Amino acid sequence: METLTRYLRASLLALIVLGASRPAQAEAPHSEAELTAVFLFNFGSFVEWPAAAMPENGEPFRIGVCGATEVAHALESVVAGERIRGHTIEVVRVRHRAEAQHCQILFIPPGDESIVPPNMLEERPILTVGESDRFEAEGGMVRFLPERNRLRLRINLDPVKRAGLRINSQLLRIAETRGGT
Amino acid sequence: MMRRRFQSLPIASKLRVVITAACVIVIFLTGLALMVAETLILRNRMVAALDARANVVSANAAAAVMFHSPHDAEEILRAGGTDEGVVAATIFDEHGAEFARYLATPAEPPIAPPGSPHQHVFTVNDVTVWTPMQTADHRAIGTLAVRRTLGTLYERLAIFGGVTVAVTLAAGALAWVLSHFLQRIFSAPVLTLARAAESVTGSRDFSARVPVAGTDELAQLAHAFNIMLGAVQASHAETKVLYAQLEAHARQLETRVQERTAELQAAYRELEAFSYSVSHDLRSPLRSINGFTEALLEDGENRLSTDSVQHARRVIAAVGRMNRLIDGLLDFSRLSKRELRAETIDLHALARDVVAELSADTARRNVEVSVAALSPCFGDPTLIRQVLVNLVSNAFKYSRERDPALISISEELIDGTGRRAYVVRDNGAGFDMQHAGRLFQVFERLHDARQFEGTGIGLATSKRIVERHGGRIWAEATPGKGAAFFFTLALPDTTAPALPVAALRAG
Repeated sequence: METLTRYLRASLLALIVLGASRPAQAEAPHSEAELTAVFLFNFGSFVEWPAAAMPENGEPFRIGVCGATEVAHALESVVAGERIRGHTIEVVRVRHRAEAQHCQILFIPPGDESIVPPNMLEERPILTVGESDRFEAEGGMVRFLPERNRLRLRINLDPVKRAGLRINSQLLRIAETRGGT
Repeated sequence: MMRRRFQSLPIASKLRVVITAACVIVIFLTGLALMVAETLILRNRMVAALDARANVVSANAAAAVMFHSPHDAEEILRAGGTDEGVVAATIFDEHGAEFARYLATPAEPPIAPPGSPHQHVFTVNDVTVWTPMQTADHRAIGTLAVRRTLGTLYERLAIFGGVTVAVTLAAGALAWVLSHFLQRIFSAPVLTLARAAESVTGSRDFSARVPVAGTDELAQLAHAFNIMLGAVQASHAETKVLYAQLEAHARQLETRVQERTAELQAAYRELEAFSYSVSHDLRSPLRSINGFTEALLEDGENRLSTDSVQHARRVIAAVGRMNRLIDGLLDFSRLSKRELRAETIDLHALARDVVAELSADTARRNVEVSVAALSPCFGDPTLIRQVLVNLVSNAFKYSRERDPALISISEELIDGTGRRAYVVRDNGAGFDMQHAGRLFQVFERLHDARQFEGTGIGLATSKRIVERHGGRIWAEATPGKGAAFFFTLALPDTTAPALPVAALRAG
């Protein structure tokens, strides 16, 4: 009887310890590349593309990444098996402007603005995401602003509007917005 | 106690109590059932409403979660928390770690991580709902938990309970009032019936009738009661007539008996007066006969022949016998007139006295007389003495031819009865038991007067005396071997306590 009680107590203790360890595990810090990849993927849920700009049935939803192979790599593992609006997701490594034509989202990391300058996309319905002042100055739509341990968002509404995209109000709520009066 | 009190209530009150109680119980139970149903429905609605609320908040907070903005998420939660009754809301990320939290007051305990993706938990004071947060593509991004108090539920239940109690009381009161009218309809005929029955049993007035109204069971009962009353009335009248007839008959019989008794008594008195006067009147001619015969003997002693003297002496002896006979008859007839003067008698002493007196006449004979111890008796000493004299002198007389003559006076147990009788025995002539019945009748003699002289009155007189003392006298005998005369005396002793016969017998 006493051994049983002791055994039960030990099991309970183990359970409590295991349960307590779970949140710690969940709070494992992401690398910036990973965070960037997750955010890029998440945009798919909060942006509406014109019907013509969406991929055909059976075609993948394309997220383009200029240059930065680390982000592309992280993104590939994030989107594996996931879908956006019913479409599978393909990560496109963009080295040339033409390769960006069929993407729905395009990430232009700092230093790679020359590969696809945002304003050169001629108001195509592609959500451009970047990190630099230059990106923003050249008509980029969503900019990541690293802040301590996290990323803030700044959305330039004018280019978004021009491209015919609509950004969900929830996303706008948590982001800093410019223009769009 | 309650039950007994209820049973002693009149039917009218019983009906009222039952109707009111049934009404109150039914309404109260209905209210209770509705309350339980209402509680279940309210709980489900609360969960559904909270779910809906959580879905809105979770849609609003999805972006904040997905773009790792706990600050924004908390703001959204706070905005959602202004909703009535919400006291806490928490967002957990897909790993179950707390992402953002809102507590209405610092004292509010935080919400626990989700046990399962979709659940709700009730406590006494609140309910918590966990709802999965999803993207449009059904990708799980976390869990939203919202907790609200059950204040509104309890408020509504309180109102409901109050209304139930109020309605129950009102219905009870209404039932009490209505049952008063109902009671009139149902119990009034019953009460009339009961009163009628009571008046019938009380006054024995079988002509009373119960008014019959309508055709329901109560009316049938009243009708049946009336029929029964009619039957009782008829049979009662019949009984009365029969009783009167019987009474008349009895009276007639009684008067007849009285008449007959009076006649008999008159006849008896006449007879006694006659026999007394006859006996008395017989004495004077006898005295004349005796006197003149003696004168004849004296005067003509020398002139009369020897035969004539002999005849005259016989006349005188016959006159003596006749005198004794008349004395006996007078004694016998006086017995019925005489009053008993009862006292306790030492029967033993009396018996010895009688034996001594009678032995004097038989001094020449060889007689052995024994007197055993005799218990005292209660009676008239003169009469009892006469009984003993009669029996003992009979014993001397009929044992005349024995040598020695044996006479004993004793007390014996009577066979089979446990009672005692006094016995006078002798070893004399005895008699044939066939004639025992005639023994105690006046002038009945079993023996020839020439053999044993006597009047034939002694035993009849003894019988009369013993019977006047409530006793019995009888005899047993064998011809030539002797006789035994038994008698008992049963006069209640008014001077000494009665013998405990039962105790003696048991002993």
